[in-house]
Amino acid sequence: MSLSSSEVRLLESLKKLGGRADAASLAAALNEPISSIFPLSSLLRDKGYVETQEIIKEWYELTEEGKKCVEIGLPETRLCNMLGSKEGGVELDELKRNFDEREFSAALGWGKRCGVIEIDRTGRTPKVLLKKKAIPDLEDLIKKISDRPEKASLSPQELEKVKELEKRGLVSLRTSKTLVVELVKEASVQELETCRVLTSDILKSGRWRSLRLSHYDVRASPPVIIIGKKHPYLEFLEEVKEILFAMGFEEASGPYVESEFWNFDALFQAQDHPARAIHDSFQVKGVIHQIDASEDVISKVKAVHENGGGTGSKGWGYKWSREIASRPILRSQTTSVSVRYLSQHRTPPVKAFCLSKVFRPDVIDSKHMVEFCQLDGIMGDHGINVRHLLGILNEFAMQLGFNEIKFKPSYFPFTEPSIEAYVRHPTLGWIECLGSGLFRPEVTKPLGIDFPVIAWAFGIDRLAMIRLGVDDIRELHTSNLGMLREKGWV
Amino acid sequence: MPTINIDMKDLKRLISLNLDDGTIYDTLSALKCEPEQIVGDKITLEVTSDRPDFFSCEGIARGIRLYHSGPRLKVRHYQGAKPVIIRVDPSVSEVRPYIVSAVVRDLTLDEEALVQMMQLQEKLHSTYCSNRKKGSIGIYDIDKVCPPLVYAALPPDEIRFTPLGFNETMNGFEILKRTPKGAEYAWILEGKSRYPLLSDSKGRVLSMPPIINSEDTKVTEETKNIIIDVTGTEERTINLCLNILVTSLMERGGVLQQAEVLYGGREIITPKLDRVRTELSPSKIKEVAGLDLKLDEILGLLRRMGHDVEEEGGKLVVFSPPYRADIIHEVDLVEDIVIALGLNNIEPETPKVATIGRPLKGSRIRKRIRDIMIGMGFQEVITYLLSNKSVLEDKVLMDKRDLVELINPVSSEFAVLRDCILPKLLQFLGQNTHHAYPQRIFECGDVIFVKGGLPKVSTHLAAAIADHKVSYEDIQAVAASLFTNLSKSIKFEPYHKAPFLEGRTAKIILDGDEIGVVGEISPQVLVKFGLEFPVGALECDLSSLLGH
Repeated sequence: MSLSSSEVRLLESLKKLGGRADAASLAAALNEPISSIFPLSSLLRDKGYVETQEIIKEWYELTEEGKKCVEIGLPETRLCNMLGSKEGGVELDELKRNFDEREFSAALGWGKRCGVIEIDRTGRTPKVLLKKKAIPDLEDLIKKISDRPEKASLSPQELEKVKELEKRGLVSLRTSKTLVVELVKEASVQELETCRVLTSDILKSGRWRSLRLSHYDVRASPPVIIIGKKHPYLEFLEEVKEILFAMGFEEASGPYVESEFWNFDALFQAQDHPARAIHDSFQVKGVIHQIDASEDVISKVKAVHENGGGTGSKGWGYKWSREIASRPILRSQTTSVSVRYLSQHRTPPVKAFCLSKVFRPDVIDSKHMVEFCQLDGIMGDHGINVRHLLGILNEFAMQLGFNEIKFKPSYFPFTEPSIEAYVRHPTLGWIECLGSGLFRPEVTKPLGIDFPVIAWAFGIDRLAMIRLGVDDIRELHTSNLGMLREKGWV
Repeated sequence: MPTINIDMKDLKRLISLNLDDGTIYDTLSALKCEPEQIVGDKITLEVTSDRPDFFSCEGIARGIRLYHSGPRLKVRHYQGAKPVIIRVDPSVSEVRPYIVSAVVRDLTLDEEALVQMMQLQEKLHSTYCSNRKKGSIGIYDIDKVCPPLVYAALPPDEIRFTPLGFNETMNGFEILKRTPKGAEYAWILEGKSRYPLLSDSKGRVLSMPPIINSEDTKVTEETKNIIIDVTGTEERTINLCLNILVTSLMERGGVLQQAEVLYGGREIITPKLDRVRTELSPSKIKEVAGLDLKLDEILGLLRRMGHDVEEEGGKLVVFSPPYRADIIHEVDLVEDIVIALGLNNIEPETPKVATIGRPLKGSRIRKRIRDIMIGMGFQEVITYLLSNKSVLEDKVLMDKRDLVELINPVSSEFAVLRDCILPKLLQFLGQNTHHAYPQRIFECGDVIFVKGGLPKVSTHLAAAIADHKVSYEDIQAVAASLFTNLSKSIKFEPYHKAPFLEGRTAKIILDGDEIGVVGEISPQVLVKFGLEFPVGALECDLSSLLGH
């Protein structure tokens, strides 16, 4: 059995103190806080070197108020003294002024109970009269308590009366635990050479050969290590990107501050379309109004809005305004990046995606945030059609871990046909997750694209929430360091 | 997308085909009418904004009936009466130039029919009519008025009638001020010296478009014959609205009497109820939907969506009903074919387009940088691009500068785009003072700044260490290690810049260019974020490293 150096020191002190000592004496001898004596002695007890005994001591003590009573007498004694010195009694109100309320009712109660006083209510004001002389019985007892007697030393009658004093808040019962340690086995010399930490010095000096290393409680909880790690939301987005790379998609990016032209007009959303109203996109100030596109594309987009521009479409039939199209906004959809990409990549095949932030004015709550991520994908080639759209969505859903997908017709201004898809989650059921379709000819032709393009937009934050097990969209950008540190994510 | 309330009993009566509930719900879904809530017979549907004919129960019932090859609506014309005349005074040309109208007679309108009529009006107003600006609808009891009608614009104080829902007469100004509808739509008449007014041959007022109808001519459950007007600024919109209203009402019976609008020099008969002509090449169906359909299949599917089809020299000429607003290209007909066939009856096909997947330029280096930061024990955090303006300026003692600012923010916390990240990290540390120290955090993300009046994007790295003791060397060591591990050599030069402390701050120089700052954060800034621990921090522009 190995002993630590402090355990050895305790055993030595105990021997010097005659083999038996209480914790306070041991602490004094060792020059250690008393709190360290308890765990050391119990370790030594478990190892069989000492016996320990817990002694509980109970005694009575005067409270602050009790001490005052010992000094100036109990209220009842003071009452008797006042009444005895005045012939014909004292007015109740005058007496009250000499005592505090609690003292006075105790004194008056005792007097009436013992028949020592009487209250005369015949006069204009009530008076208190002394009937007979008496020395209050508690006076002796309270003096005795000032010597802090042990509870066991008091007689049953005294204990009865002490309870009354306790109730009156004059005395209180105190308890203390004392640990008494008794030496039962002395430590041998061998057991003294132990150590807890193996150090480089011990190794270098060769002392490790004669040392005993103490044992750990290997089941005890270790200290917490705070590690540096990647943000789980970004990790999920990376995972989605990896799937798309594997499916042959190129990542695209575009400006956050976008002209209405690329956000709306190029997507064949009429300038008086309800979704373009001020409440559906963030308008910005502080930057120049302009359209980042060639005059050729601008004039074709204008024509397609006004009369179809030779795309086989009737157009929207209104006067298109360049001024409106030049207004800067925060992009409300990453589809703006998709059409920008298309305008730069006019040779098929084209497969690209953009996974980035979009902005929409909305009431902020657990499901809605003004800034969130959207995933937009496009694929264009000769011969691409709706069946391929369904096929690619099927594949992507499978890669994300959803084995079932279903489609419903829908409406988006820039795709025809427009299709929304639902994936089946094992516990949450069908989740509406994406909108898709074939870009309308009114979208592709003005950009110089002469092949069909399928497009889809994924509300990726919804999936991120499911994956990360959070039910508030704001937690994807959590400002809670504890959550990032402590939560395990897979 | 608009939501529409309908009643199942009413719907079934209007469909009149004896379909069971399951079939009806499936068909609703197939027609892009998604049930959101069902309470007893009351159904709330989310419909799509391209189908305004589905903004009431009548149109939805017609859609379902046709889908199941039920009979079409035959428009019955009122016998023995000429069109109702509406004279248009030139005074309206500056205010609200156009009007169209129709009369529907022999109607029986129960409570639900009135509810649906109101709903249809309201939904058309809020969508296609741009909140009554482009068009506004009035419906009246024609037995309470004496045609011909006059559509004119009058000075507001010369207008006087009892607005709907009131029991006293008001002039034009009072109507805008004192009635709830007046207050809601006054913006449309703002700055106009004359307000539009529709009245009859005896001077009785029908309405003051686009604000309110008169109490005297209102429609009740007793009404048998109604007159509809749609006034507005765009003829295409008001004709469409009238077509939808008339065809919907006639689903409940009734016969149509047309109106003749006299503009003085131009006369038109309304409603036009013209079918929309679109040419469709059968090859387009294969091209868009990937479907090999026989001609009779195509004809059958189009008819189930309400279209008529004629063949003309290898092409199909499709005539769509006058209430369809969405058929502007042949691809819109292909969608109808897909809907009639059912999307889930189309076999998905995995495309065989071979391409190379590629991340954005700089992605690999960016990932490396994040890995190095994590290796140095930093927790990655992400903060929003949108920021509180004072966090970027006052709180960090940084000068006012050009930021991209929102005109219509919904909260001051999200009012500008950040042009640097460090203030957001200090804000983050300030929100986490109850967590164990040291706190080592970083963010690698985009910032948006204004240069020459144009918004520019670059990618920054910001990192911060907060602990009981943090010195310049602690954070300088992070910067040095980061660049050493990227095989780059940087220099530190003394620098003074908020929110850093003078004498304990350096600019980071890479290949002769200043790319960032590193140093201790000024206590003045720390207290503004409620931080009682010293903070060492750095921020770098990664553009040159990422090759942007």
